[in-house]
Amino acid sequence: MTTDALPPDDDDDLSVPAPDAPDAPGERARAKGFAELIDKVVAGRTPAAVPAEEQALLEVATALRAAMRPVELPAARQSALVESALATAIDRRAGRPTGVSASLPVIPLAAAPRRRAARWAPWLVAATTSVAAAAALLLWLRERAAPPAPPLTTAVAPLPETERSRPADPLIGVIERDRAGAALDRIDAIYADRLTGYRARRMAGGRR
Amino acid sequence: MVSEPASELELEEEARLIRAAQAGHLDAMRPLLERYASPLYAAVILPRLGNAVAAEDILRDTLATAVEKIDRFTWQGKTIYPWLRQIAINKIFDLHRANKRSRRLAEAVAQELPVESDPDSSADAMLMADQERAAHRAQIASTLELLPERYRTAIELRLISELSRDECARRLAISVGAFDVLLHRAVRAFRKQFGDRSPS
Repeated sequence: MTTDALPPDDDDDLSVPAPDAPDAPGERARAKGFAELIDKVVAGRTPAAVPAEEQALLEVATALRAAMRPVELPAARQSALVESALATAIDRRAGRPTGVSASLPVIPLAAAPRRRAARWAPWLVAATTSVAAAAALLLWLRERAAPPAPPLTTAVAPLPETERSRPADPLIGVIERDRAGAALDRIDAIYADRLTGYRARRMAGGRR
Repeated sequence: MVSEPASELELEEEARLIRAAQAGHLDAMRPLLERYASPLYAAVILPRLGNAVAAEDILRDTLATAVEKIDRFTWQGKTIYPWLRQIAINKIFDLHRANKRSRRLAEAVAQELPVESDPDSSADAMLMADQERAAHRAQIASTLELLPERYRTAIELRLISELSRDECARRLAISVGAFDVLLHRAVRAFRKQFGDRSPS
């Protein structure tokens, strides 16, 4: 019950100001909060969280409305409450914890109809898994029993200087100041030098 | 709620269902619970609690206890409603026992109301519920009479006529914020008057 946990409020000892009295500090904010709670009650909703200081006033307002206006318990809600009450009573009589009602239909597992395929499916899965595991184990054991494979290293003969990446400084040498603008000539010289190595490799037919 | 003339057939059916339940067929109580759940909620429980969620809990517990203890009910040719009502009232007071604030509301509403006791049929049980609600209404109306007129008007407009806050403020020629303050004070004043009228 929500009301059990709520502390008694202290409004009893406070006098209520006259209708025309000026607002006390904070009164307008509190009144607005209460008005919003009333909005929910009038709309038929239950306020989710009610400040403790407003709970008593909200209960009075609800009781007042319950007496002055027609109150109906919705049919669906009433039906649910009746069913719940019957289930609780049956549980209590049977000495069971409430909520585990014997009135609910329970189909015994033995009587539940099951198809043949559904009966065999778990065994099939278990058998397949076992065979796969055995095969994997066998492969692993055979692999361990085999002689170690030779290392995958291959002896590579060193390439001649003309076929390797190398600096162009020995080819070009020091660039004189008056030859600084002849970059094309130098590029041509480097290209010709590298082309020689390329041709030598191509003419050898890839044997080296 | 419209009350029908007492029906002997209805009463016989009620007796038969109760006998079946007492013989162990608890499901036989279902039609009786469905018949009396609404009047118990509207006339007995909600006005004494002012909390719809708590009222539903008490109603469910009342009905469950009635089914569980049906062996203790003695058929005397009258409807089961007063027995159900007494179970509900006992549960409400159990709930309020430890709570000063809510007990005060329950005591204020639950004064011995001049309702007809021992109804002969379910139709009379409905009449009993109607009378109980009428007594609550009279009690609340007389409390409202004790309030300053502006407080009374604020409560009538917003809580009983259910006009919007904007409309209430417009009718009273004040701002919505001022109306909120007025309503808040009005409910506090009502609560104070209502509690003061309850027996100590």
